[in-house]
Amino acid sequence: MKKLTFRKVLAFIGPYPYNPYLIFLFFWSIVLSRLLPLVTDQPSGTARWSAAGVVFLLSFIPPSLFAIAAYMAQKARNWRTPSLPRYIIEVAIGQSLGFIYAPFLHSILESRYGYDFQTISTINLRVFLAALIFVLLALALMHQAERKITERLNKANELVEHLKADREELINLDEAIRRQTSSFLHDRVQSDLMVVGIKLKSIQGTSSIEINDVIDKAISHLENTRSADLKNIIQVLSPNFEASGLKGSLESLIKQYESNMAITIQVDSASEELDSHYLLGAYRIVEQGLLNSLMHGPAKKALVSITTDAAGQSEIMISDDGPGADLDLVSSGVGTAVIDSWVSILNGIKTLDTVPGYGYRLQVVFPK
Amino acid sequence: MRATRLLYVENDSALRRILGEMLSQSKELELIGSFSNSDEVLNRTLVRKADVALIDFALDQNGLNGIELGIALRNINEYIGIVIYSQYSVSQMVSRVPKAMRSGWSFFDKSAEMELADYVEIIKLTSSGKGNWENVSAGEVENVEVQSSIYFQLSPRQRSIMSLSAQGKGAQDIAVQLDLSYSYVRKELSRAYAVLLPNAVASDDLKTAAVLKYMELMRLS
Repeated sequence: MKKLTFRKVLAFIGPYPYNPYLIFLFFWSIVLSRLLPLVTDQPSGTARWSAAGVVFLLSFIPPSLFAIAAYMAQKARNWRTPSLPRYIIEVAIGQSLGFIYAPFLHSILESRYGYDFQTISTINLRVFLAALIFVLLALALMHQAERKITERLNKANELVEHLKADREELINLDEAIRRQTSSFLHDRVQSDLMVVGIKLKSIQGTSSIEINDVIDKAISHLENTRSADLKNIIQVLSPNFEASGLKGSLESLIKQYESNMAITIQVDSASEELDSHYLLGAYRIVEQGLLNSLMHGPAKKALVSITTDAAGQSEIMISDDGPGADLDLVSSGVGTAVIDSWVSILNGIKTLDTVPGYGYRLQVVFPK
Repeated sequence: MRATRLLYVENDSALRRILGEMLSQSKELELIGSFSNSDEVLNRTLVRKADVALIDFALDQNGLNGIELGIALRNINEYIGIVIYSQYSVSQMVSRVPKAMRSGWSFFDKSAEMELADYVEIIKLTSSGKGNWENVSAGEVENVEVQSSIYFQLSPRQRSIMSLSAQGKGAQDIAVQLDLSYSYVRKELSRAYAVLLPNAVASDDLKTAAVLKYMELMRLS
């Protein structure tokens, strides 16, 4: 068991940040329970109903005063270090609000129902101090529970943030490797193939017809690898938006789906001007979204549209006419994880809509 | 007639050497400089003397790309022809050049199968102001409203509601059939109308017009 030290007891007493809502509920239930016997004392019928109404309204006064005072104290509070004495003084001042409302309640209840609502004049110092201790204890219990919940919530939020950061880190690492591989393939492999091709061509004239024929075939083979296969791999690994733009890059991407699905790409000129980071995010979201369209159907047709409005807000929409799927099914899988990571990197909002038989539509909206 | 004065910019040293040697063999060309990056070219008054520049699109990653360099060269010498070649597809690159500046620009994909004569031809034509940009261009990036795309702008939920509406069902029946609330169906219907008939006037018979439009789209898709 943990040692109960004096320090811990002090920390338990306070000070706490006030929660006006909790304070209101607590004192309201106390006042209401104190006044309820007055209602049941009335003869049943109209008199009892009207007493209930009056009690209900009057019971709002003390807790409202406390809640407002707590709210204002909270606003005005600018302690550099938590101060227990100041906190106790604040609570005592709050309790003295009873001097204001008690005579008022007393006079109404006395004259209407002959009910003696204890006035402050009958309260001596000892009762005041006892009540103060009770109130401090009640506040401590309430706020202690709240503090625990807040701590847990903060921890959960920290974990979520941590996970988000980890996921972004993974995405960035993955993109870095893709970029490196892609530029190696472009700068070295593709270029070397090109140089070899030109060299072969330059010796062509000096040889026999048979050798020329072999060289021709070799060049065309190299060229095919260089300008078709490698070009496609380089583009899909890490699209070059400077060279091809977003629309051009997406058009290279959909070549691999063309035999299965007719895909229309619409990209407006404002979206082409987005920073490369946003372009890459949009590209990856579309890549995974189209994979989803293919997996759930496949769809016959799909539309990809990327638009950016005058305020700089962009919208990605991937919509198909496939058979659609259950939302739960669509919401899992690696593709969705990649999309979600990019949505969070872009600070965006994702909306998914699918109805069996009526296709699938993914929308991602993100700010500038 | 004097030979066409050519600047050559290519960051790959092997290719720059081999293609540079090849180009200098032509009597119609005079290779007045070959460079590996944009900074080297821009520091020379050579640009004013050149008739045309052959530029690789992908230059140093931290510097200008080929198109940006071409634009910079044009600002120094407004008559210089610009030829861009690349391992990337050149078809999307035309739109990167300001419209007013496009004449005298040519683009081609890098190829080991091209003969010296092919290079000479495109370089000479470009230097005389006859660029091929119009043939290469993949078309401008425009905000075209494609008819059939309207169908895809409807959410699947709206599509399912519209197709029941097209069968003559009212909002109440649709709500029951799809297990949705009546007010939700009404809301989705009016959203679907707004997508289907973006220019509708309030007094039009929206429902009939929207259903007709939806059925037309279904035939299209």
